[in-house]
Amino acid sequence: MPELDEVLSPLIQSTSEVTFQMPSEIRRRGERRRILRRTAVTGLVLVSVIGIGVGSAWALNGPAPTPDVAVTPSPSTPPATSAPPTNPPTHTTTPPPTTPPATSPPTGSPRSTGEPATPRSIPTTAMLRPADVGSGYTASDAQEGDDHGSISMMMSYCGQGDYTNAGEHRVVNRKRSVRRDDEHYVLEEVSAYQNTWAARHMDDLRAVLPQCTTIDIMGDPNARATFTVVDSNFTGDEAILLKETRNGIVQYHAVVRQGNVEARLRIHTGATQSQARAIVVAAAARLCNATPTC
Amino acid sequence: MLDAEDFDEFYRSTRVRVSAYVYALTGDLTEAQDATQDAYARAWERWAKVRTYDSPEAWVRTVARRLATNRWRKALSRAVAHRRHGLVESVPGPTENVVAITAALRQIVEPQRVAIVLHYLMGLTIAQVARETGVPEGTVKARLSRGRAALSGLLSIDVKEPDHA
Repeated sequence: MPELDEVLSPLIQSTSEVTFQMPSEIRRRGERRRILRRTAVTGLVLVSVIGIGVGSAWALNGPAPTPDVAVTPSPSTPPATSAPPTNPPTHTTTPPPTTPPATSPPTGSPRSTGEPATPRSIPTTAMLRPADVGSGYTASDAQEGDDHGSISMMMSYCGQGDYTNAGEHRVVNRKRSVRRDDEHYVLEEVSAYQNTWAARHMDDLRAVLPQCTTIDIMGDPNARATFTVVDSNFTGDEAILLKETRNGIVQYHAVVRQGNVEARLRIHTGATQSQARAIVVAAAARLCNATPTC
Repeated sequence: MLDAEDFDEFYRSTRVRVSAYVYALTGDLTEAQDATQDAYARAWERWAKVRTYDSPEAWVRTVARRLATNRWRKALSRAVAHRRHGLVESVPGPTENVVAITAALRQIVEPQRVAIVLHYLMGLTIAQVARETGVPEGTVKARLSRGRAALSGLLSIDVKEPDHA
């Protein structure tokens, strides 16, 4: 009777035959990411096809950085030897007048009869503006970013990374960061879903949150985050506002839905609860530019 | 450059395990290779901090898994693979045995699969699996028990019960 580790051992054998990139090449890739991240953080115009951790720069400043993982589709992860640049993101104090729609999905999705139309793109007008957050903020539309501190990532640390299948039904999404400096920012991701999956995501999130009121990042009790639902259904078709406290630092997460479109927000501005709530209300109003259901 | 030497050694000594972990979870060796390398690049990007963790490998493993399970990223990596000559040759085809194992793993629910792979393939203790997946040890034991039973049936083999069962 075999041990299960013996049964699974051929998997190790298979991967041991893989030809990996040289360590120096891996480091070069890391360096490229680091440079691009710094460029983004300093507010310079960024030219990149590499996923840029705007959120990761902030997370790195925290006491216990969480893994740098893509919580959103990364439609242009580079090959190791890729040539840089296409699609420079913009840094503006106001939304650019003509910005191309966010990345479309690889395949189309049928629209069910009777359901509101699912947007095929997210216009910039559906995104938060700097003025919605406060004075001195600017917006960046880098579409590839890693948010270490996203609600999805926190749920995965809670052992609930698969709390929803809604991601598989996302049709299109768009990201924006609105920031003043490394300590004051709002990260927003607006997504359109097929059929009723935006509402389903809200249901799934509400269902999982009671199991994740305390989360140890990477299992580290010194990096413990507490989550509290502080407001609900105060704007949009539905909304939820979460307060996260980690190592004495408070930030807010929010998910707000209008029809088939939702915005996920991470509000790290030192905002009070009422200020955070106001930002979510503003985001909900902006969402109406992406859906006819308002 | 001590940091680089340190990182290079870490990469060389752990990359097979990390990619095996991703491979076991996804059943896709090309994706496992790509996600693994990408995760190490991210580790180097912040190596000054990652190297101080109790288990930098756990950090990379978590990142690699997350990258690999991103559905859109997987689609992209396949497109990249087509554009990138040489990748096909760098990933050997799976044996019949491996195909059966990965197929069986994919038929068990993910929490059980993760627990099984971390414990039996990565060699983590129950406590370590609990820590990495953020659930109590009792939950890990239950997942292991159910996953083991499911795999036994799927692979038509009797696997030995461990002491902690």
